[in-house]
Amino acid sequence: MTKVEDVNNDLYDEDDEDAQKDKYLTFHLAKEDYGVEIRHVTEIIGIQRITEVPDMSDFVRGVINLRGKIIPVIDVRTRFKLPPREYDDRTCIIVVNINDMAVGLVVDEVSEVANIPEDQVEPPPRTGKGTNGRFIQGMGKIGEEVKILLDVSKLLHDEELDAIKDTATDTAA
Amino acid sequence: MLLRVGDTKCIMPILSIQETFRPTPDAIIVSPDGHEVVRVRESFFPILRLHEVLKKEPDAKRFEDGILVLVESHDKHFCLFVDELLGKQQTVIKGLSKYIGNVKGVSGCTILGTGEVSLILDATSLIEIV
Repeated sequence: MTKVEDVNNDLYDEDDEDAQKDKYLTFHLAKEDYGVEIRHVTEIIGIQRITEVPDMSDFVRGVINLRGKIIPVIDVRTRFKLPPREYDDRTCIIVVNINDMAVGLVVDEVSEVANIPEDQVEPPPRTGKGTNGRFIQGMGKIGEEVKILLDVSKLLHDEELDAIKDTATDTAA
Repeated sequence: MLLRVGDTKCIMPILSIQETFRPTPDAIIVSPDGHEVVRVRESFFPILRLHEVLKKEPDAKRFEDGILVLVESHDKHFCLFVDELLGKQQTVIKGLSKYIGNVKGVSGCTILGTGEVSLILDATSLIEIV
């Protein structure tokens, strides 16, 4: 099974690619386990006060102050149209860096960094026109467990919206 | 000027503010199509409820319980209805992230002494909402 190389790969440093290859930060959301490529992840912080910004898509929770830097925060639950849940002390913000843009992702619980070799990653299931399938980069297998591997850049951008906006982000999405 | 509505704090540049006052009930006129207007001396100004822009639950829903801020931009005026004025403050403007882009009514944000992020309101684009 050859995985189609991520088109964003060539934007990143060649050096640390080997060490970070096949490593995924896994987190828990509702009943499923998800994974994001570790090279996108900058840090993990606890939940903190989020300042809401008016007139935004509902999954954009607002902005937070990360050591003096303003970063937007996305609620992955709302993004996946899952029922909302009260934030608690396990709730985390995963700070990811996509195309030099830092964005926080609110998830229920961060699990671990898992090594999922390429041959253990299956292509995303094709479920007709299933809307949620578009965020999925592949299905990672660790023994009996399945981690849904997410394509972070697709998570950030609303494809429908982008089509209208015709901004520079179009090429990234 | 630091403003408060519900538990949200916002900044309005002092440069845009002409005066602040608490209206008497008889100074408020509601037009047939639901627009609220306030009379200040010889002029009438439309009222914009900040809590409706931010979709927040305010402390004060009646104008007598809050404060009106008369805002001016490019010779256009309107009154912004808020719960409370928290005082004058110098702030550094920070952009909202590239990801968020332009937001109607907001020109950026700032970090308060407490570490909280507070939005900076933009009079010019708020006028378009009124």
